[in-house]
This record gives sequence, C-alpha cells and structure tokens, in this order.
Amino acid sequence: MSNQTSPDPPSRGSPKLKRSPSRDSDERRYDGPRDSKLQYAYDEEELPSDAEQAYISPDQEQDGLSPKRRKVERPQRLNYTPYMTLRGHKRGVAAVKFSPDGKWIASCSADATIKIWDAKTGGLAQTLEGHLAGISTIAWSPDSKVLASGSDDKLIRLWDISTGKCMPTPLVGHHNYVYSLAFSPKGNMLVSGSYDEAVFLWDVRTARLMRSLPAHSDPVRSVDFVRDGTLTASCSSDGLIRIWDTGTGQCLKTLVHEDNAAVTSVKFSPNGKFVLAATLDNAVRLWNYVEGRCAKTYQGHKNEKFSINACFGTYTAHPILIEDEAAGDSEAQQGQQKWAFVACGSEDGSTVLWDVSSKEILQTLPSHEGVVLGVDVGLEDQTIVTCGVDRTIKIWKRQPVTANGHDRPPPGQNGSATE
Amino acid sequence: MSQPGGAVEATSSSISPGSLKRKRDSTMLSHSHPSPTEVPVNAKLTNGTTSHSGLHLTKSSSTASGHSITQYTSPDSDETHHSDPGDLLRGVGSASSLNSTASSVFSHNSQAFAHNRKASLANGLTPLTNHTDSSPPKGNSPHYAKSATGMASTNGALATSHLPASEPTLELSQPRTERPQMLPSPGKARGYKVVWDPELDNKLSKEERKRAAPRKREFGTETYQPDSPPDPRLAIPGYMSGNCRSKNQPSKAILRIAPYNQQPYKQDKYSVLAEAQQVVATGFDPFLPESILKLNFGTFGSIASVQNKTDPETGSFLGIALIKYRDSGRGDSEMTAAQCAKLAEGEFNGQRIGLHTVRVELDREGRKFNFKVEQALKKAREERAKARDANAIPPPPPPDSGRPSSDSPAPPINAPKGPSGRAAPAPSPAPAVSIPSGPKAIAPPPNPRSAAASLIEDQPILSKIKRKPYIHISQSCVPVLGTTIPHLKKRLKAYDWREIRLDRTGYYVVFEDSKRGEDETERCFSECNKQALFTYSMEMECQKYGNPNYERSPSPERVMAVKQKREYFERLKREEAEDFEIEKKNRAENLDPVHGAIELLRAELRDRIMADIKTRIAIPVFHDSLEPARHTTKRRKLGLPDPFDNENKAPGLLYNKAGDTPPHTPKSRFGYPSKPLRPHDPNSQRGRQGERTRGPANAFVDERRRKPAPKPSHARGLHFRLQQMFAEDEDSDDERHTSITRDTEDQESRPLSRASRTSTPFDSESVTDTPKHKRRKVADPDEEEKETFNDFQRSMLGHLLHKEPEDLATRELEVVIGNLPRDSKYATRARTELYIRQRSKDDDDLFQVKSEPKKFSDDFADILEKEQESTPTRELDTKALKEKAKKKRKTKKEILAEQEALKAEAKKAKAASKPVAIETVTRIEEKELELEAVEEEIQPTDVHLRYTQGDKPRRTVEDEQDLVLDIDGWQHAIKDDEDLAFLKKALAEEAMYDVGDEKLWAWKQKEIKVLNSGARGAVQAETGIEGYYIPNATGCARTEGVKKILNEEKSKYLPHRIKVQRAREERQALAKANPTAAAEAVKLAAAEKMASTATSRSNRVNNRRLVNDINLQKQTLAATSNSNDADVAIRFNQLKKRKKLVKFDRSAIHGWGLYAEENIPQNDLIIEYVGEKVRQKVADLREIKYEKQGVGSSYLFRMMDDEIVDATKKGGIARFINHSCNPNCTAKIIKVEGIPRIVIYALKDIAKNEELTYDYKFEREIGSTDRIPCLCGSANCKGFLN
Repeated sequence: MSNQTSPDPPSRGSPKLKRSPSRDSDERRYDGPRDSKLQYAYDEEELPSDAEQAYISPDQEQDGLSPKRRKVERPQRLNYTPYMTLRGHKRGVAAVKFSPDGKWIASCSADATIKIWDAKTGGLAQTLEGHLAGISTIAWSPDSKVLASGSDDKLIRLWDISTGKCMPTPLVGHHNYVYSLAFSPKGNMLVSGSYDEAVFLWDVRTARLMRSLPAHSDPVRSVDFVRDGTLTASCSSDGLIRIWDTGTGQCLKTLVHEDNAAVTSVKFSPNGKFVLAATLDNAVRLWNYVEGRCAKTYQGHKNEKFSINACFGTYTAHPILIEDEAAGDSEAQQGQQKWAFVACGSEDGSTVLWDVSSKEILQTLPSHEGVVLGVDVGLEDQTIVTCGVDRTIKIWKRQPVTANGHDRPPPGQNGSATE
Repeated sequence: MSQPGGAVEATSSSISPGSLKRKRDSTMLSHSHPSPTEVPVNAKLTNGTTSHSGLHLTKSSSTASGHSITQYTSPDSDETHHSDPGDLLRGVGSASSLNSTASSVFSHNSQAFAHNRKASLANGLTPLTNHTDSSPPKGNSPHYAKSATGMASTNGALATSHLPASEPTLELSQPRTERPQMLPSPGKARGYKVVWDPELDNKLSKEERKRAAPRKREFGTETYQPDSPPDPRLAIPGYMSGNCRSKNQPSKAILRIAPYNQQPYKQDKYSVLAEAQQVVATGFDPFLPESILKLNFGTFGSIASVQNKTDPETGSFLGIALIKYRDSGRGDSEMTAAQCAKLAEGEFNGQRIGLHTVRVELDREGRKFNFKVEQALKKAREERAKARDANAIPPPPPPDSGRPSSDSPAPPINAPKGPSGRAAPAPSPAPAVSIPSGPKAIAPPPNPRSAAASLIEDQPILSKIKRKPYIHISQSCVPVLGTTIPHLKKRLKAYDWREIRLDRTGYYVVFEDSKRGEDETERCFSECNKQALFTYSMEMECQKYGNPNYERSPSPERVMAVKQKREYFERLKREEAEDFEIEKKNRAENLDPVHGAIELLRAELRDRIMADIKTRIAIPVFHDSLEPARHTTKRRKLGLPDPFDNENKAPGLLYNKAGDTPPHTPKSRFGYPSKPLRPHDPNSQRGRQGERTRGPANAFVDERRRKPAPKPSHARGLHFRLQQMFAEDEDSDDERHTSITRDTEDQESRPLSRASRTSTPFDSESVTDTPKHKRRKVADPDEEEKETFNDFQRSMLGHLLHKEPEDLATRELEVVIGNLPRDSKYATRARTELYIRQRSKDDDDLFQVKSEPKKFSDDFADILEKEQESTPTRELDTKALKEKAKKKRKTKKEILAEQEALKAEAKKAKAASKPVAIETVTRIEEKELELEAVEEEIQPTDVHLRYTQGDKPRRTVEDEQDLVLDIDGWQHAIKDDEDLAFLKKALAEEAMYDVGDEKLWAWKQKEIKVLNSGARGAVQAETGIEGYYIPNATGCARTEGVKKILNEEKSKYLPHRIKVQRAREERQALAKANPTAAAEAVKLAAAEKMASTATSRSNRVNNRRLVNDINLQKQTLAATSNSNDADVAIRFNQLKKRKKLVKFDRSAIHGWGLYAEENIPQNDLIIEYVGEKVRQKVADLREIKYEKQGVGSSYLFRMMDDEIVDATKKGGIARFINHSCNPNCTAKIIKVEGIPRIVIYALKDIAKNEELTYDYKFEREIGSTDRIPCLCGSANCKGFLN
C-alpha cells in the first residue's frame, strides 16, 4: 500500500455511515432473478452520485435500510487464499469468466480452446474446440447457457454449454482479431470489439450484424453493456472511451484522459453510473461518464503492455464460508453489509484488490507467474478467479483475517501475505 | 343544498363524470325516440343503485320538457302518454313509488324538472325539438344541484305554472332528484374570481381592509363551447409543414418515411404530370347541341376540343362530354388551360344548362370520362336487353357471331344505317334509355330483297378471290350494309380498285391481279388503314397476293403421284396389318409357354451379346485406334496437323457438332435389336422394303450398317468425340477394355464403325478438305433405286442389291464391283465405298492401330499425369507427348517407393508449415487410425490388372498432390497396409504425442474442420482463416499484449483503407501501363460526375427557392430598416441557408473525414469552418499542447496573418475535412459584416457520399524531417502535406 497515491485521503470510517437517511425497507424491494449478475443493479435512483455508491446490491439495500442496521466496521484487509488451481490449457489463458449463475467458470486460451470448469469442484466439464486460432475473449449469456467466444480467426462463435457444440452459424464480419465481447443483459445482443477498430452489434438469434459503430482509430480493446442494455461502452488503444446509445448507434460521450494512454478495459459499474477503465499507464480509473470526469484512480499494480481486465466485486465484513453457504447462505449473506472492491491483474503476476471508495489496496494476491490477464469475481460467495499467461487458472476464496491484522496463512500456501 | 341524500345523491354523483360527454350524445339523440334498451344501458353506469338510477333516468327523460309540452298541446295527452311509450311509463310508475320513499319530495321533483327545462332551453333546444324525449344527461345538468337557493323561486313558479297545466299525476309519478354535476350547466356562472382583494391591498388601512369587500367577477357565464382546446403543437412554427426542428436536435421528421415529410407537390411548368386541362361534364341534356356546350364552357377559357360521347350502338348522345381547354389570353390576363379547367369546375359545377344540373369534374387523363362513358353504355345495354326481354321479341341472332347460322344478312339492329344512320333513330330523351324500347321503335330488318341488301353476297367472297390482291375491311369495324358500298367506293376513289364486294364477314376491295394491282393494294392499305369512314375506322387487312389460303389446283401429274403415293402407303399398311394378323394367329397356335419363354430368353440373350460386343469389343477398339497420341509419329511423318491443335481451335463449335447426335442414338437403335422396326418409321424412308421381311436374326449382321453414313468421315473429329465420351463416363472405362476383346477383330472383317460414318459433323470446311473422291454423295436414293439390273446380275448379287453399297462388307463390295458393269451407278457407289475402305484401312495401318493394342486408359492416365505435371489445361503439345514416350518405364515397386517418398515429403512440408505442429507428433496415432480406415479405403482400382506394355511408367494410384493432409487427407491417401508400413517407417524417428483418446481426438479434429470449412472428407484446400491474418506468436491477441499497429499494416485489413488502397493500386498500374489512358479515365470520370450532378433538378429548385427567399427578405428588410442591416442579415442567412448536408465518418485518408450527404454542384457553399479564433501565439502554444496530449490531428486553420481558427476543442464538423492533393473543395475566406470567416466551397461537382477534401496548402518543407505524408490517394498526390 505504499505506492497508493490517491488524491484524497481515504476515509477511514465505513462509507456506509455517511449514507443518506434510511428508507422504508419495503419501499423498493427488488424481486428479480436472484441468480443474475444484474440483479443488484436495479436500484438506487436518488443516490448521491459519488463513487462510493457505485456498487450496491439489493440485499445490501434491504438490510441497509432496516432500522436495526448494525454498524459494521469495514475490514481494512481482505484475506483471499488460493483455493484451487485449474490446469489444462496448453497456452496462455486469455480470459476467465464466472457464469452468471455462478456454477461454471469458463476460460479461453491461446490454444484455441475454451474450457468450462465446475466452479465448486474445479472439475473440467467441457472443452470447446472449433476456433482456428487463439481465443481472446469470452462472454456468458445472462442465462448461463450460451457462451460467446471471439477469436483471432475473426469469428465469434456461440457455444451451447450443455452439449459443448458450437452453434452452426458463427458471427462473421470482423476484419481482424476479435478482441472483446459482451452480452446484452437480455441476451439478445452481443457487442464485439475487434482489431479492425470497429464495434459491432450483433443480433444473437439470427447471427446477423445489426450495427457497426465506427468507433475508434486503433484496435478496440474492450466493450461492455450497461445493466439495462441501453448503453454500450468501448475503449481502444487510441485512448478514448466512448459511450454509445445501443439503439441508435450514436456516440453519447467520449471520455479521454489527458495522458491519452491506451485504454485496455472498460466496464460499467453495476449501478450503471460509472465506468471502470484500465489504462496502460498503471492505473485503473473510475469515470463518472455522465459528467465526463474521472472519479477515482486506483494504482499500485503494473499494467503497461497487456490488456488486463478489471472488474468489480463485493466484500462483507466477514468472509462467507462454504459451510455457511451450504446451510442457508442467504441469511448469512443478507445479514451482512457489503462494500465494493475493484480487482485488476498486474503484469508482475499479482492481482490487486482496491476498495472502491477509499482506493486502498485491500489485498494483493500473488497469483501467477507472468502476467495476470483475467480476473473475475463470483457474486454469491465472493470467490475470485484469475488467469494468466502461465496457462493456469486460480480460484481464490476468502478467509477470515487473523487477529493481528495480518492475513492468516492459507492452508495450502506458504503464507507470504503481502501488504 | 337541501338535497335529499341517499340513493339519489349517490346516483347523480356517480353519473356526473360522464355527463359532459353524454350531453353531446343527447343532443344528437334528441330527435330519436328513446328506446327501452337505452335505459338499462344508462342504468349500468350507476353501479350499485342500478334499479334506482334506471328508473330515475326514465323519469327524467319523460319529465324533461318534452312531455309537459306535448301535454300542453294535446288535451288527451294522458292517454297518448300512456299509449305512446308504454314500457317506459310503467317503469316510471314504479320508479315514482320507489323514489318517493327513498327521496323526500315532490317539490324537489319539480325543481329538477324546471331545471331540466331550463337547461334544455339554455342549450338552445326548443321544447318542440325535444318532443317526447329528452335525454337523461340533460336532466343531469350539474350546475343545478349546486345553486339550490336560486332554484327555489323558479321551483315555485314552475310548480304553480307548469304543474297544474301538465298532468299532475304524471308529475307526481316523477320523483324529482337533482344531480349535482361536475360542471355547471352552460350559461351559468361557474364561480367567481376575486379581482381585487382588500386584504392584499397595501394601500388600504386596516379598517378599510375590513370594510372593503373583495371585488369579484363571475366566470363561466359564457355558453359552453364544446370545441376542443387548440392543439398546443400547432403553436410550434412550421409544425404542420414538418419544418420545425429545435436548435440542437434535428426534427424527427427526418426519421419519418418519405410520404410524411414530403413537401406537397407543386405544379409548375417543369412538372412531368401536368395539371388537368380538361373537364368532364355530365348531367346535361344529351340532346344539347355541342355549340351550346361550347358556349357554356367557353366562358371559362378557350376550348380546345369538345368530345360529346355517343353510344356506338345506337349513335345517340350519352350526355357526357369531355371539354379540353387550351392556354389562351382571356381578356388582358393569360389563362392556362389548367386554370381554365379549374375555373370551369369551380364555377360551373352544379350550375344549370336549361333544366339540367351539370356536374363538372376535373379529369386529367380522361379516366373519369372513360369510366363514365363505360358506365352509361353498360346501363344502356342492360336496359336494351331488358326492353327486348320485356317485349318478348325473340332476340335477333347476335350480329357479330362470326359466321352466323341464320342466313339473314341483316346488319345488327342497332347499327346505324350507313352514313345517314346517325340521324335515323329517334332521339330518346335520356341517354340511358336512348334505345328505342318499343317494338315499333326497333328498326325493321332490312328487306333481303332490297337493293342494298342484295349487294351482300351469300357466298364467302374470300374463296372466290383466288390470287387477286385485295383489302379486307372486317365487319367488326364497319357494319355490313349494302348502302355503304357506294360510299366506300367514293372514299377509295383515289385507288385503282377493280371491285368492292361485300359479304357477311365484311368488305373486300379487290384489285387487279398484277404487279400494279399489288402496289395499289399496298398504297391503299398504307394510306387508308385505320382511317375514318364516317364514324367508323376502317381496319384493313391487306392481302396483296390474294387469298393466303388459296391453293392452286394441282396438276394432273401431281394428282397421279399423290394418288400413287397414297396407294403405296395403303398397301404397306395393309401388309402390315396382315403380318400382324398372321403373327397373332401364329401366337395363338403355338401357345406354348415354354416356347414363349425361350423366345424371350433368346431375345434377351441376343440383347446382351450385342451390348457386350459393343462395349467390350467395339468401343475399346475404337478408342485404341483413334487415340491420336499413338499416331503422333506417323502423323508427324506425314506432316499432318496434330488433332489437338485442330480441336482446340474451336472447341465450342466442335463440341456442339459432336454433341448433336443423330436422332437415333445408339441406345434407341441398338438397345433392342430384336425388336422389329416398323416398316416405315420416319427414319428409314428410303424404300428398304426388304427390311421388313428380314428376320430378326439378320439384325445382328445388319444393325450397324442399316443406315448409310450420309456424310464423309474423318478420324479427327471422332477422336474428339470419344474424348468427350470419356470425360462423361469414366467409370465405365474398366468394362470397356477388357483384355479378351483385344485381338478378336481383324481389320478386314471389322465392320466399319458406325461412329466414324455418322457422327462426324459435316461442315463445309471438312468437305473442302476431303478429296473429292472421298466425298460421299448425298443423293436421293430413290433415284438410284430406279437402276435396273439384269437377271444375271440379280442372280449373282441377290440380296446384295437390296442393300446400300455402303452397308456391304468389303468382300461383298468386291463381288458387286466385279459383277456389275462399270457404268452402273450401283457399282460406282460400291467402288467408291471400297476405295474409301481401303484408304481408311491404309490409314489404320499407318497409325498402327492393330499393332498397338494398348489400353486407351493407360494413355489417358498418362495424359492426366502429364497435365498435372506440366499445365493444368488440356492442351498437350506434341513435344510433351514425345517426351512421355521416351520416358523409361518404372516398375511398380519403384512407383510405390516414389509415392511414399512423396508422401513423406509432403508430410514434412506440412509439419514445417504448421506452427502448432501437432501433425508432426501425431503420426503414430494417425497410422493406427488409418489402419482401421484402410479396410474400407482399399478400392477396386487397386486390384485392377494393368498392362505394363508400352514404355511409360504408371502409378497404381494417382496421388492427389493438392490434397490437404489432415486426418481425412491421410485416410484418403493411404490405401493399404503397404502404404501404412512405409508411413510408419518414415515416421519412426518422430516422437509420440499424447492426445488422449485417439479416436476422440481424430473426431474432434474432423469436427473442427467441418465447422470451419463445411466440408467432410478429404479436401483440396486447407481450411484456414480467410482474408488478412497474421498469427500471433503467443497464440492470441490478448496474450500478445498491446502493440502499436503501423499504418501500413492497418491498410491491409481495415475495409475502408483496403478499398482506397486497391483503387490507388489499380490507378497506378493503369498509369504505368498507359499514362495517357489513365489521364483520359480521370477526365472521363470527372465528366461523368459533372453530368450526373449538374442536372439534378432538385438543386435547381433549391436554388430558385433560395433566391426567392433572399429576395423576399431583402424587400421586407428594405422596407422596415436601413439597407445596411438588411445586407448583413442577408449575408448571414446566405451562410446559414446555403449550408449543405454533410456527415463525418471514418476516412481512408486520415482518421475522420467529412462526407457529402447530397449532391453538391460546383461552386456551392458547403460548410463554414467554425472554431475558436485565437492569435498566432496562442495557436502555437496550443499546437504544442495538443501534440503532447496526442491529439492526432491538427484542427488549426490560419485565417489571417494573426488570426487562427482552432477547431480542436470547440468547432464545427468542418474540421474533419481532410487534405487531398486533388481536392474537390476549396476554403475561401470571406468577410461577413467585416468579419472574416472561413467557408468551404465545392470546387467540383460532388456526388453524394463522396468525401470532401481541400488542399491544406501547408508550406512546403522539402527536406525537412517532420514532413507529413499524404494519404489522399489521388492520382497527382505530392506525397506530403508540407
């Protein structure tokens, strides 16, 4: 945490304490699908537009609103320990993604294969082969049944997870490597960014190109859909982040940092008000895209060459143990307050977690040898999965922090907890 | 309010919301009697108190003014009332009882009544109009309930004045309820507005405030206006015309599809569709003289034509006229035809001429007119038919029913009688009944004995005309009337006709039977066709060579010949029938199944043998003998051209000729040799009588000689044909050349090939090529038939004479020649035939057909091999063939070894090329897989016995060199164990690679291939990634990291760059090849563009509109203010208005570019370059800053020396315009109001979607290090911007 150079000193107190007065708990209860990654997104309208509210889940909302809310101290440290290492890819693993229902982990690799792993047991469920070249990106459909993959062979393929078969018609149209993919929340659209500098919107059902956005003047590094699918974000190594209206294809906003560093990852915050962007100047930034200003900058990792994706996660005061989960995790989870963190891989092989609002580094996971290319956080149990060029995938589980403030040495590891 | 509560109140309140609307309904309904069903409907509205309200409503309806008034007028209204709306009243009665208990009072009833009355009066409805009915809502006048105090007096008054007068019982039976309403009744004040409140007045003292009363003003006294409030959208300027658009966002109208935002079409002189210039007038008296019509319509403008339509059948006027106007100067003002027409329609429509009201409608194309005429005609026709039926007159046969069965030559009844026919029928009063309806009115059928009728000939004239030229005017266009003839004669007096005749089909104008007559006919036809004869148009049919169907009576010889022929055919038929009878009889006699079976079997066997001989013996021999490759040396020795040379010169032609096989294909004729041919099938009409009698056994000998070749043959074409044959069915090769068939045929005994006779195309060239003696005479065999032979010859030659010499065997020919005298034609033919045969035999010897009984397929394979090695085309030069012949033969072993080596090579090559190199290490698995596959893969071709004579090495299996060696490829390539062994040996030193389950692995590999290429099995083309693809070293783009991509690389895959690049390359290539042509092309393209855009009409219209607009503004401004302001405003407007539609998009030149969204003519303003105006120093600073920030493009524009427009951060889209060395725009600095502004003008005509460019005119920095390369791609690109 030595190199944290946040402009404003992190507030030590829990951000929750500063929150606006409580509201009726039944005022806006969200009854949407519980398993979806998107569910936490449908809430606040009148939240103060500050970064600290970027990540709020309905569960949190519910308990946060109840009058008997406990005042919980936000943990200053997280203690993620390696839980499993998945091996099987023959070349570097480019991306790893939890399925929205949390059951599977999909990973794609430069060896032109996709592997589906069981998130619980770590068993290899499927190996999807069919691409002729390495695969740079994958995206789960919201129903966790279809996986889209974008490869260097310029094709986007859709895979049926249950059969492991590829859908007969690939999405053809890109003129160079497909670099990034995202499914719309409804699962009917797919946005893809490619080396050909264009962002394509695809109709998934007909496998047709709906719209081509003349987006950038350099390879498109990352694309994302906002929670309701009305906006699309794209970023490119030309240093621009653009927000598009999905419906009309108009560019609504262009975010550009002064340094003009290549932007390699873009991700909407779950509430849809911010955009998290990783740039090749060793920084991850949280943008308020409405106002077009940078809200937070997270630093402390190394990222100058590779496009490493950053993502959001939540953490509670105490880790959710697997035992809890088995025995009615909902209660255990609901009772807890949540905070958000940002996770991003680093080129030195670690994965760094920051608190969203305070910008402190919560933990640095010494994950891989070589570059960590992909990070994803499971929602239910706050599991982190990382992948890297060392051909492995690692799953991390949270453990309670030991009393002295240092991470408890994980059971299977050599206890080299870093600050 | 002293209102009774309870149910009534509830009722009224529940009704009230709908009252407003229903009020309107009620006024509409006011004249109708209230139906009983209406009551329950209304009742439903008041939920909960249904019965009550229903009754209440009925009450109110009956109470309302109407009834009371009627009772005033009719003393016995009680009864009427009871009898009239019976059901209603009963309901009312019950209601009264109910209501009197529920609600309080009678007085209240009267109150309501009075008010209802009042309300109805206020509505402007007199009581009388409300007769027997007033709608419930009216009773609901809302205002009423509220102002209760005011009611009292009226109430009382009414109670005293009205009630006694009206039926008291009735009044009693109507409980009065009042219904408070949301809105007060019209005419009543709805409330008051405090205009002045003393409490708020600061000027007043406290006491004063207390004392003073607020001033009020009532409102709502004005009568209720049911008009809807004005549409607020209409307040938006230009809303209706679709021109409104807010400043920052474009109108949605641009998103609407065309019909909505299209401007209303304005007629002008350029319009394609002119305005209507004619009107159709109807409804006037049909007998109105045209002059009066003209007079009437002439008041609106000068009339071009008046078309007053007549019934073509009766000739009477229909009363429909089409009046066409023309442009004219009426009085002092010019009137266009369209204006006249419009005027006529506007002013004359509905006016009267005499007693009839005339309807006038505009009719641009005369469609309305036609339609009306049709309608009128139809109606008239129907009426006529009806009249006929009604008069029970048997309808005369339809006059135009072709050749009528009735011999009455009368014209159609309705037809006018000749030229005077128009006046003849009595004019009927109306066009619709213009037909004479009574039996008297029907024109008496012309007397057949009358002179006119006698002119009509009974016999069809056509048959009598013979060769004389004539013109026929059909009866359908000019009615057949004897009286017409003199008129027609007069009409055609300019022509030298001989006679004009008339029969039922029409008129015949007969001309002289000579050349002159023919010419005259033609002249007459050309001048008079479709010309008018009275009201008819003469549709002529010109026959200048007389009756086309006329046939000369045949000469006696011919008759004889025909007769003989017929007899002959008859005889044949008879004989055939006899034969058939005999056969039938025979069959009946030998009705032995065994016999029959044997017969069948025999026939079948014969078929088989024939087929076998053909396929196994004949065809291979042909192939062998005709193979040109084997004759090469001989040919060369003789200096003959190579067949391929010939063939390839005109392959299409030859193919066609070879392809058009004679109608009887081998199959059709030879497939069933036992089947006796019909004695006279159309193909054998050569008088071969003997054929019929010949037994089927004879067919064998005969069959390929049956037909003499009509055309000369030569081997070249035939060979080509065989080649074709081979290409078509290669698979049947194997059975064609079996070894058994080889040497069975002697040249001598071998019959001449049928193919060589018949198949060769007979073209003029080949005829001239062949020596004369070789040319087969194509003569009518009938004449040769006639040659008579003496007895001796007959006895000697016997059956030979019945054959064609061409069909004879060589020996027979010799016999024939020996026995017949030299001058005998038959003998001559035989001699010729013999000569040809000898000649061909010699040829055969020459080309060693016999001595080289090698299999054709060998050569064929060689050819294929050769083709693969040298060129893929079919062309084989003789040289190559020669080399081939010299090539040493290899043993099979050698070949196999070679093959294996080749495979290994290929493998290695493949392995090397594959970066992943899975193949290299998976050999062993493959082998195993292949081992399994081999069993199925071994093909019969491998077992095939091969002749190794000849001197060329051949392979047992042709390796497909271009086969992709993936799993399928290997399985395909390795045919047997031996191959596998070789492969294993070759891969012995390779390391094994673990792929898990081999079968699964192999299956997956195949699946991947199928997925990506869509092909199963061995393929010729590698499945790969299409288009530009550079594999990443680490496997995929993401693991590779971010690298800067150079422009050169980008232009290899970015689609818009590829396009430009290609165009540029093409242009460069062209320029290199032909510099002048390139320049021409550029010029041409420019010219084309000019043509395409400059003539755009929309542009012209726009310009005109603009000019008008500006002028208008100028005038108004000049009128209001001083001229200086106006000038500025105009200029400003000019800048704004003349802006063109442009858009920006990715550009091939650099980053972004600006594109025209409409066609822009030359010298038009396109857009203004807008931006921050800064000084030079600021600009310099900014430039540095931007550079540092990495803004890739320069948006600084120098306007003056120290004035620079910076559009980087603030500016219009004009900044996206790129530089080009061959620009289509130019930037001009113009002064508006003394302030310089940058404006982009079109330098050329710019088409839609073309990128806009101008020359940046940077200072040249030749030799400098930071020169900016130009990517404009134009032909005259200087390479650098600066």
